[in-house]
Amino acid sequence: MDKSVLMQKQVRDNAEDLQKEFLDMKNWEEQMKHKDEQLQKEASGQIVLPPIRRKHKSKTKGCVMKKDESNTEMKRIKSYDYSAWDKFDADKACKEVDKEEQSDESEDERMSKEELKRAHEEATKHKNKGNIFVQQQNWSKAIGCYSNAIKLFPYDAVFYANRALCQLKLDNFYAAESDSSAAIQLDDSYVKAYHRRATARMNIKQYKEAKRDLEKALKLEPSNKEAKLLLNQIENKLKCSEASTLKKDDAQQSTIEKEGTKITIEKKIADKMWNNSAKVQSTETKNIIKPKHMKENKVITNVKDSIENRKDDMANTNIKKKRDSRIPDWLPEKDEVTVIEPIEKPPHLRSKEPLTKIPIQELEFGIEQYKYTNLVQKKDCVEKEEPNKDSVQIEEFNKKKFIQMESRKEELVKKDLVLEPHKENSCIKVSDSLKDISFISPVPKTAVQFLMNWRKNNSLEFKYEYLKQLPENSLPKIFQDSMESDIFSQIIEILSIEFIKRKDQIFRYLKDLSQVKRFRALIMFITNSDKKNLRTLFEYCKTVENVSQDEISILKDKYEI
Amino acid sequence: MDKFEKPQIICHIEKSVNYSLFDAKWIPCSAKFVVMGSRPRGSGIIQIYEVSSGELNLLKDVERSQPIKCGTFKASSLKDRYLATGDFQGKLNIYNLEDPSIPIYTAVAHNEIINSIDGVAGQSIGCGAPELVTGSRDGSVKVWDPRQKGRPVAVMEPKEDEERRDCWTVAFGNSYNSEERVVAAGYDNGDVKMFDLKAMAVLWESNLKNGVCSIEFDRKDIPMNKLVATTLESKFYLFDLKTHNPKKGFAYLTEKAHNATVWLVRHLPQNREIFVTCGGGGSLCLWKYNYPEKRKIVDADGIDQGVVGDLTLLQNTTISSQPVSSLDWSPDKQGLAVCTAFDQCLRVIITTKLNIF
Repeated sequence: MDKSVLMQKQVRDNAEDLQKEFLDMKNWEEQMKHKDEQLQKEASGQIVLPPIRRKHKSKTKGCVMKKDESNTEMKRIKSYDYSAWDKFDADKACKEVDKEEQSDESEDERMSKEELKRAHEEATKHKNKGNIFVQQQNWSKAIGCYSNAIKLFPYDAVFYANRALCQLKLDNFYAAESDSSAAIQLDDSYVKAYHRRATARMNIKQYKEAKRDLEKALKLEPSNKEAKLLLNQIENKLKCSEASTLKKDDAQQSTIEKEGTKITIEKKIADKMWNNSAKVQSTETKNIIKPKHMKENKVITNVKDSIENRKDDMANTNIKKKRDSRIPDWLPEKDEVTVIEPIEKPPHLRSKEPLTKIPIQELEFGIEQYKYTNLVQKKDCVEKEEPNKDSVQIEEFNKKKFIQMESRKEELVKKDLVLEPHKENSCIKVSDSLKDISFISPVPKTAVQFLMNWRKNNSLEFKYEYLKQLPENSLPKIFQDSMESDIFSQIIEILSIEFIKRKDQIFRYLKDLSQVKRFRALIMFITNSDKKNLRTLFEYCKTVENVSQDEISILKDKYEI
Repeated sequence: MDKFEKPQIICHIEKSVNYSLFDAKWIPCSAKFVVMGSRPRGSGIIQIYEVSSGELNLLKDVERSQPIKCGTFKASSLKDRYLATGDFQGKLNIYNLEDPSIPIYTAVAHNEIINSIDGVAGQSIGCGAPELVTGSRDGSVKVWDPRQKGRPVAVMEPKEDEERRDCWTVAFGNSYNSEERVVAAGYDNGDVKMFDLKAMAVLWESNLKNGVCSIEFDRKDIPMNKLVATTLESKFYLFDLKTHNPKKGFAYLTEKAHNATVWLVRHLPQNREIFVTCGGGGSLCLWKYNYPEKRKIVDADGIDQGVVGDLTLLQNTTISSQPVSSLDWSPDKQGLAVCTAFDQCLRVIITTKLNIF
């Protein structure tokens, strides 16, 4: 009795507990939401962190170095020891000192105070040069000078602020904004930097932020007339935009906030790009600014596109340069090669369409090259190919593919030459068959790949070429246990028709086939015609390939013939 | 009778998704969590959910090119809350979840899949620099400082001629001041290694006979106290790390649970004596460690030797039919946890009565 009552009570208690827990959960969720929001608004408090862990080795190296130094001090030559001074090699000593200095630099990333001072002086020289360019209103050159200064000494706010001014003059507002931000980060009481950032932000329609900057500037320097003027302008603009938005619902406000966050994304992208290279920056930022009336999202995608474009361009030029400097000497038509210049288009003229996909095929270059060296002697034949080549030259960027095709052609030419003495005939023949065989698929790795390629082209010629390129012992590896009887008989057919016709080696294929898993099952379902083919193949092996009788008989047993 | 006084593990919310889940982590200081996994077509996915009045709201859905195996917030400050992830290709990425389209940090960390990632010192002050550690199938364990781009600050890997074992799990510990820090790693052959990052040396190693699935210190930011390592074949080990005897090593106890692989161990952030283990059968076991009366004794040679306490099983529940791949206790609410299982479900679970311990 007592027990059951107690149990009932506990079950009830548990249910209550649960209810409480859920209620608690709900409260907690709300609380967390609050906390989360607050956290996001909070400004970043800089925490001093311990330095990055360095490799233990470098530490020990440091110790060793110090010991060495003490050793050298011990060896110091005394001033009255003239004979020792005679032996002293001053040049060597100088070199050693230099070396030590160099290694010090690479070891210690931090610069000493003296070095910093020197760097600052050097950087100031660049800055002064830049200032002169500014007076001449040569903004882009000035930017270059300031960038040099920043490279040498990245801790001076003035350099950034000056560069920001130049960027403003060139209408690179995003770059100007990030530069002035950098300046403010280094010196948060730099009125000019605030003013410049405000100007930049006004131009990219971030009025609220611009206003905040100006207010800050005026707080620091209440008598700044320019700032006041600009503030008035911005307030007017703000009123205008508010008036337009007031017409719409309050819901609009949330979208404004969202836009705010999106703009920060843009900023980040701009920043990232700034890091990439100052030169490209100018064009990129223009690209950002132009479509800014469009949805911000689009801008981002555009920027991404343009980055990709640029990358592509760079890649192109790279390839081209390589070719240009040394057009591969194995190319048979060295003089005929036209170098394709990259097309430099301003971003707004560029095509908005996605880039065309270029199918890339794997090519074993080493092998091709080797073949070409053999081919040099057959130049006359190659020359006959020239007109044909023009018709094949499809698109500019298909160059690689083109080369590959040529290589295939050459290969064929070579083979046919060996077989048939009539050169002209062979050439014609080659160009006919070329269309089918020009892209022989690469060596397959799996049965699926093999089957796909196998069925792609029904011509016996193609299948012959395809089989021909397979290295020895590859068939069992490719097929594992998925060889099917129709493929099996097809291979035998190709062997008996095409290979015998060309007097190629077939014994190795027969051997490979016999090593495929489930071979015995395949043999069981073999057709009569296949058997006939096999017999001719073995006969061929015996007569043409001169394979020993023993080997043939072993294989024949396997094939149950 | 006793049954009703024990903590209850209740599945608060269950949500089925259409991809494989590998890891779930609470976003610190929020009612949100991220889940990471692999799409059927082989791409990676990161989703952010918010718990709101008994339901899950999907806030963000990011697709990545590579399946993501693991992630952590532990190396990021409360203000940033950046998610560090390891993917199938061996890449270490750090994402700002406000803008997860582009990772803010990437490094090609390993040649093969990153099985495990852990972070330290993101939110605690005075415990050294925030660092990440990754363990991979390529057999190496690497320590990363997000301030150093592209290369690790420390690498622990077998020598050239030694066999490379698959590293399944890594964990930070002993990070109680700005210098001391220890990384523990578990391997597929049952090896457990503890690396001292201050001395850059192996501090301790042992073999647990079966592959080590998960390893965790009870706390990261205290002088190392306890370590739990779970293994295949339904066994897990608890080491008392207070006293190291040069001959006998650390005192430890073993416990059988789940009748299947013990996939995971996770200590409760609010009470380090309580931890949960997750089993291959989809079961969760809640354990409490009881300290012995004396934590060390002097052995016959006059050298200190640790004494291990015992474990109480507080609760055992099955929540899924498939192995539980990850579980994360909420750092902000005691008893709240999110877990993922290979039945493609993510679950928010509540454990009651944890306050009585």
